Parts: sequence; C-alpha cells; structure tokens
Amino acid sequence: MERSITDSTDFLKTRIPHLAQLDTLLRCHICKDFLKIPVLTPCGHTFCSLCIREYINNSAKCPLCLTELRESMLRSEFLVNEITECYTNLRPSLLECLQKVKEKNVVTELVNDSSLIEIDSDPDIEMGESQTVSNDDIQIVGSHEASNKFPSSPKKISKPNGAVNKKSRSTVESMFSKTSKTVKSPTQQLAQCPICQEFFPLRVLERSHLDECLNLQSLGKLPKRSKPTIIKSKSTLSSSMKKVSNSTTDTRFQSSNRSKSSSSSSHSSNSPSPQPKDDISYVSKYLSSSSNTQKEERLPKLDHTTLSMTQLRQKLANLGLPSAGSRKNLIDRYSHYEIIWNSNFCDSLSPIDVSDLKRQLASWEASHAPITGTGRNTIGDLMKRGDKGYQKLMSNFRNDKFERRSWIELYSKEFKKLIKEAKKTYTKANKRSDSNNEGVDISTKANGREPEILRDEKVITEVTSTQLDNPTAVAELDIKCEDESNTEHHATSDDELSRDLSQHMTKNSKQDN
Amino acid sequence: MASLPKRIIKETERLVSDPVPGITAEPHDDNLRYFEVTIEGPAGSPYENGIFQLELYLPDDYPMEAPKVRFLTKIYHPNIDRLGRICLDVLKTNWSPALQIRTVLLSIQALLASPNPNDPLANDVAEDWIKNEEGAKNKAREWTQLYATKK
Repeated sequence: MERSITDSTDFLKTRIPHLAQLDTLLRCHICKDFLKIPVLTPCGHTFCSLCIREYINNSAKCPLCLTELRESMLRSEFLVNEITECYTNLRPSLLECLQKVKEKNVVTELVNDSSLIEIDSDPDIEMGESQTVSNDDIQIVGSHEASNKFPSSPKKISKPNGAVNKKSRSTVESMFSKTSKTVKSPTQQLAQCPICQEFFPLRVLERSHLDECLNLQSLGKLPKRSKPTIIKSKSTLSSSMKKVSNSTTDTRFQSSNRSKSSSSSSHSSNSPSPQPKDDISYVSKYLSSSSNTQKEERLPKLDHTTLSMTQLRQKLANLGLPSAGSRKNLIDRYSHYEIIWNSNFCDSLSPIDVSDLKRQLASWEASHAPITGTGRNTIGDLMKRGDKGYQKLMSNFRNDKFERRSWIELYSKEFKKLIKEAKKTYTKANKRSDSNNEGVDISTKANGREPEILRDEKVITEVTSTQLDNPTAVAELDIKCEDESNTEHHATSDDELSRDLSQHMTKNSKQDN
Repeated sequence: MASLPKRIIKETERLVSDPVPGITAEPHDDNLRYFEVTIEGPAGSPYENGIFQLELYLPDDYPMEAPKVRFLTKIYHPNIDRLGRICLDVLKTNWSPALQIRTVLLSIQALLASPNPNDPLANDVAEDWIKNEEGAKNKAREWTQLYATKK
C-alpha cells in the first residue's frame, strides 16, 4: 500500500491532535483531498469545483444534504481557496514542527520532571517518529488535564502541553531554535526570533514579539527571512514528514489543473523543504480576486438526445477536439470537457490555457478507456513486451506529463514497421484490383469515403497522444509485417500511404465492431 | 485498468488501519477495487453471533456511483434476497459521494439490526415477517446458526 497519502490522522500523533479536525474540514467530501478551486452550494456546503460538477452531471443534488442543486447555483469561494492553499503549503512544516517539539520535550521533561515518565516497552506506538531521539522507548504520558482535553487522541501519545504549562517554556522557541546556541545558556535568556532573526529576551519573544512578527509576516510586510533554522535540521525529518513531501508530488496528477494555473499552488511539490515560499501573499491574492476577469464564455450543456452523430462531431470539431469514436465516446468527451472547461474558466481564480485543458481531457480519456481485449495482440501487450520505458511513459501519461517526443523515440521502430506494412498492403491491393479488373480503383474507393478517412487520419496522428482507439488493428499490422518484411514494395507518396493505413484501420475497426 | 484514485487508496488504508468494530473489509490482492467483507450480526438481533460474508466492488465511477455490495452468506432477511442483493437506499437512489465504504457497511449492519418488511426485496420473507414476526425471527436465527457461524 502506498504510504504517500496525507490524511488528517497524521496529526493525531502530534502535540495538537485537534488539528486533525481542521485538516478534515479543508478537504472535499468527494475526493477526500484538499479542496481544489472550492465552490459553495446554496445549501452551504463546499466541494472541489471539478468533483461537484462531475457529480451534478449525473444527479442534481448536494452530496451532503441531498437537496436540489444545479450547476448554475455554484459560487466560487475565493477565501476558502486561499485558506486551503495556505494551509496545504504550511502543512508539512506544521507537522514537522509539532513532531519535533514533542521529541524535544521528551528530552527536556526527562530532565525536568521524572515523575511523569513512564517506560513503554512497545516502540511501535511511536511509529518511528522518535527515531532521532536516542531513548525511543520512553514516552511521556501527558499530564492529567491534557489527556482529558483531547479525548480523540490515542491515550499513549505524549502531550506535554507546553502552551499552557510554564514548566516547558521551550514551546514556541524550541520549535525553531533547535540549533540556536542561545538556548544552551538559559541564564542569558536571549532567543532568536525565527521570523525576523532578531534576538530578544525570551520573555518578550514569547509574550508579544512572536505574535507581532507572525502577524506582520502574514500581511507580507516583512522582508524575506534568510534560511530558516528548520531547514538545517532536515536530517531529523521524521518518516511521516517524508510521507508528506512525497505525497505532494503525487497529488500533482489530480491537481495538475491548479499547479499549472497558479504558481502558488505548486507549493511544496517542488522541494521536500518544509518551508513555504515566502513570496506568496495569500491575503493580497484574495483581496485582488474577482470573478469578473473571465475571458472565456461558459460552455453550454449538450442536449445530446436531439443531436445527430454529424452534429455531435461538428460540435467537437468546433471546439478543436478529436471527433473519433462511438456516439457514447463523443458525448462523454464533450461532457467531461464541458466540466473541466467551466470549472477552469468559471470557478478558478487563475484559469489555465485551453491547450492544457485538452491535454487533461486526453489523459482523462486514456485513464477511462475500457479494458480492450484480453488477446495477446493488443497494443498494450505488444508494448509491454520487453519495453521498460513503456510503463514509465504510460504512468507519465496518466499523470498528465506525457512526453510526445520520448514516446515517438521509443516506438520509432514500430511506427516504421507499420508504415512499411501499409505500403505493402497498398501495392498489393493495387495489383489485385488491376489483375481482377474490378474497375473500382482503390483510390476512387478512398475518395468515396473521404469524410471517414479524414477522421481516421486524425486518429493516426493521435496515436501518439491518446491511447489508440483501436489497438488491435495496429497490433495486427505489426504482426503481419513481421512475416512479410522481406518482400519488395513500391515507393508511394506519403499521402497515399497514410490514407492506406487509415483504411486498414477502418477495416479492422469495423471487424471489431 | 484505470489507475486507482487516491480516494480509494485512502479509504482502504483507513479501513485496514482503523477498522470499524464488527466489520472487516480487505481488498483483494488482484483487484484493489474488490473487497472481501465480513459483518458481525448486531447484538440483540436474530443475526447475533453470526458472521456474514459479503463482497463489495467499487465501480469505475466510484465515488460518483455507489459501491456494489452483495451478501455471500445465506441470510433470512426481508430486504436481502436469495442472491444476496441488498435493498438499501444509500446503495441506490440515496447514494452520495460524501458517503464511503465505511458508512455503507455500517448502514448494512444497521439494516440487519432493523429489518424493514414494508419495503421488501424478498417478498416471501417480508410476508412471513409481517404475519408472524416471532416465527420469522426464529427462522432467521436458525439460518444464522446454519450458515453464518463458523464450523
């Protein structure tokens, strides 16, 4: 099982288990991930724009309270958007800080008050968090008030509630200044502010300065701080910290929409550093947000029952979308495009480019493609055979990071083969029609079927970008080719060639249907 | 095969690490969308002490579509038919993506605790239940003994 998924339970093991609730509240109830482009329903519930639109497409009610809901009722929630982004950005460092403080306090309290210590023989309970602490079998059972205060947390977890407790004055300070030398001389009582890097008497720092500093910083009024101390102690990253940073790269698939749209949302996916980028001001982003800056019109819903196939194709072609496939394919393609389009241009603060939308659509189609045939001739099997690169490319494709170039490189041999084979069948067909004197020349046949062929040529050009509509056809081509690769063939123009290849594919697809 | 959505991975992790009392759900090795489920009969119901096996499948459109759940163990219940199909609103019209595997299984456990013969799936059982509730409950107990207890 993958361990790279963030969950609100991550906080249950820290010193503020109640943060788990905040974590849960900022998640969408449909995808269970953090809200992406949140929208508000009239019944007061918030979901990701994409999630709720996809759901409304099927049934027009709110997933939480089942009251009636239509797409036009949805309103963007810019504030929640910024809150969530801000939070997800902070989350890794928050987690790390809270865990580290705990570790530190384990040590401090060991010295200060041994009456609170209980020896626990089960090291598993700490989930490896305390690996950095030498005595990882020792746990502190939180003082009485603490364990009552947080009933939701597991009992065994230590909660040195330093925030309330004078005894552990290291609360805030120790969060940041683990490496700071000032801590070592408590008589001096000077501590470095983690935000502005100035030194203050500990008491001042604790009582008022930190608050002021944090406030100022959140308003973007403070200069960037230099390398924070937290980073230096990277080696103490606990296992769950790594988990978080992995997962952020993992989320990119689903959030690719946003990670491209706004630089701010690409947050911690760039580096495992727990430090949020300093130059993003969520506040100013929120203040300048406005829904009036839309450049693109909303895409209308399709009344597909009344539309003919040709009309459907026309609609898709007008949007610059591929118009190959069955009626159901076309309808699905349109409605998904409509969802991502409207989500992007109506709800998002920083919409992404149309070409990115199309790429998203392509990868969506690829991941929703039906499992084709179990025979060994499917293109999937063909490519999996001994091709290490295939798996990687495919996963990249699903992750919306598909590289056309490397795909072409990887399969250049196969593609050449296909062209060879196509050439051959073309000349064969020509010969046959000549010898049989059927009168119907292959090229006139082709002309008669012009619209279809044009469409299928499109399919071929898309072979590299979407999963093949008809994998078996190509696989067959490839296999035949292996048998007869030694025969001669006449040179034909590229144009004729591709036409022939497409013909071959139509034939095969018809057989399949 | 479409890649497994994050949500499913999350739910599975949760189900394994923090199981619901009286319910187990384990994904199948070959297909992570297929779960083998057991539900203990709720105390005080005719199904007490029984351990019922179910199968649960998450369709491709999950969570937009409800999971498909079926009893594998024979059970005498007005809302569960001979094939193990379950008549439960959250599995049909009242499904919402805000629900999850956990809540669905809890609803099924609740259905065992309070059968609803007025909205039947197995008509004969429901009739029996309305006419002679004690007798029907006895039969349910008998069936639980027969099919749902470990030998």
